[in-house]
Amino acid sequence: MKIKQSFWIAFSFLIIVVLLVLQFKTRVPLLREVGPTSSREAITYLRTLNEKKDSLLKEIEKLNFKILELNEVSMRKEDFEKSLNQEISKWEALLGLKGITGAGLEISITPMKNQVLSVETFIDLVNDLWGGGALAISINKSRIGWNSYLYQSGNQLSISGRLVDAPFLVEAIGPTEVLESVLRIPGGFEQKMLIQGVELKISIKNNMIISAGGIQ
Amino acid sequence: MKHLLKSYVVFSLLVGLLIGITVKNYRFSVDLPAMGDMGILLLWKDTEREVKDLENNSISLKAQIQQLEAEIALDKEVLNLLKSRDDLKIEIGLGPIAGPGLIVTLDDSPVRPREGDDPSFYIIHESYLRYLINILKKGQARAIGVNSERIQINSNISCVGKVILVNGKRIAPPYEIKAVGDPELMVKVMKQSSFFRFLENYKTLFGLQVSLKVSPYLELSQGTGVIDLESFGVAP
Repeated sequence: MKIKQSFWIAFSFLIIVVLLVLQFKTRVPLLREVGPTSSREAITYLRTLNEKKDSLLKEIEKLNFKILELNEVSMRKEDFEKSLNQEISKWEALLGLKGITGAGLEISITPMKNQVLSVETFIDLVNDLWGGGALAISINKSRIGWNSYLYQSGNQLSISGRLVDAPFLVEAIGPTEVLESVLRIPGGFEQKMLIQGVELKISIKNNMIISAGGIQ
Repeated sequence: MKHLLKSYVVFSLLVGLLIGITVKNYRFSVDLPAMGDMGILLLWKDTEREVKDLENNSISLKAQIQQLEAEIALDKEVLNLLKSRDDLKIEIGLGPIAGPGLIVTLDDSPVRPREGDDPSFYIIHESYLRYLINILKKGQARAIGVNSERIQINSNISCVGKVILVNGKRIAPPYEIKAVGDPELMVKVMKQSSFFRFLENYKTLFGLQVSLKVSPYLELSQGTGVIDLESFGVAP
């Protein structure tokens, strides 16, 4: 009888321990995995994912075409060299080693007298523009390359050591409609500037050139 | 006998309570709180999986192309061109890279916000990642990644509510910014920056978790962001 009782007590403890371990194990992912917390956020995230999905599908189509092209026995060395040189030229342009042409936005930013815009304003603006699909960005004709960094130097903005002053002219080549909408969304760059009393003008240009100069 | 019965009642209540909490937690950890709209929740989970599959497909096609190109490249001239192209792609963030570097780890505060405190002081915001990446570039980082995402030339870091997105993809805390480059220089520049001092201040005041770790060897995978080379022209 006593053995039976001890068995049940031990069994009861075992169940409690198992449940406590389960508690701990399920608690960890709850704290670690973060997802949208409302339907609205989930829809916004879903939209971003779908944009990425579409661009990946287009890329895959092009990659498959390239594989077909490369598989053609008749591909001559000269043609291959030519296509490689063209590709290299495009990558160089993206990196800022060469200029880029295309449609884009001109954003003129004029702070009030004695007003200093923080470096974070420009870091966030550049981030927004990349997010809107920009292919090249410059601030007062200083190209923002992969390794460009921005910092505050007194009242001036420094782009990888090059000082630029207000008024600022930010140029971005890319899909104009998306770029413009990214800046004009509620709570976005335009609204932030208006709150600070900064004069902001956004205009679309059908043909722009952003010169080389991104790499230090 | 009465004593034994009491023990079993207490035991049953305890087991019931634990099972209840476990099931509740398990449900949340699997489904994530989406305010009850399961349709949308399942949809974005599925789309995330689809995007991941497409990215893997794209990576394998690119590898196939590289192999085919290597087969065609029979002379030194073409091989040199291929190497120049691949080097440029590494700089852009489209090729894998490895080397010594620095890991900056960030996480939300484990401390519960004090009454009257703004809860946003206790969490890592997406802008923190942007500002730290900017500092790492000042420290001449050659390549940067955040968790599993490579920072490309056109990478964007944004947020949807509390969720941080890098290249449009959800990343979860702790956030690890890995930078390949000269670790000593990056640590020096980081410690000199006013933003890092701000973070250290928040670490003391609100318990934000921030740390720097030098690594002798870091590997960064190739970026999966799409860059359409046909959408722009090269200036003459």
